[in-house]
Amino acid sequence: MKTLTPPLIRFALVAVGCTAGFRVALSSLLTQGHFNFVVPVAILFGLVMFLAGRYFGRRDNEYLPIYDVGFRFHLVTFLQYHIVSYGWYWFGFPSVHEHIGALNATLIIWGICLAVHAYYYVQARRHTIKHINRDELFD
Amino acid sequence: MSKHIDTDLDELLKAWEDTYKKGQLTLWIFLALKEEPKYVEEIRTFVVEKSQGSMSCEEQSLYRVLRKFEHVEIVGHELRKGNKGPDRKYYFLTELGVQLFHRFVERNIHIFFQDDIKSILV
Repeated sequence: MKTLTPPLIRFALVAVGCTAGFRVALSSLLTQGHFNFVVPVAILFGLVMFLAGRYFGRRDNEYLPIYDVGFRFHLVTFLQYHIVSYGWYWFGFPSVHEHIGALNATLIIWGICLAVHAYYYVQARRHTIKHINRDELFD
Repeated sequence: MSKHIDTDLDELLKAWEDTYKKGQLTLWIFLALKEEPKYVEEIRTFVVEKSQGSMSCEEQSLYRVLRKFEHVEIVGHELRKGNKGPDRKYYFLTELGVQLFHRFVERNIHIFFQDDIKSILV
């Protein structure tokens, strides 16, 4: 749990807010039939998440240079996205145009990408001492 | 001509020292904490004074280094009452940190205390 740094926690909170906002906006647009806005909103969501990841990633590295090739941030993004999305689907107000199949497909494809990332993360850990890059520990 | 040599010497010295000092901060922090537990400002003062001003460090850099060392468990901290305001974090070397320091000094510092090396240095 020592790798759960304050910048990572702040990123998780921002990501949950962004994802919740995205799900609400997406469902509203689909319900009202504004299909042309769906792609721009999705792009905006992706852009905001990318910028948040970059900002908090840099802060995280300044706080503690954990060498994980971005895996912690990816894992947090994956977990929060699916928890919020399935939560919205089951307990929120999804549009009739939103199908659970799309979420399941995202979970599987993204899950495979995450597994590949995890492989590189495990490889990278060989160059670390307790998650810190050997070359950065005493620099 | 002499001015030219002096300029070269200064530049070469600075380049050498910049490289040399990069890894030195760790040793100075260890020396500071080996003496006794200290809070960050005390560590910074120790480094500057004992290195006779050849080493300097920002508090933010020190905090970052100490966080790394705490993460790998060679340094720990305890909270103690400050003179005024909130409690201060007093950093200390853990058992692992003390062992690491001794091993490092034995392998990398003691060699400079050999008589033949000392005679060259003087």
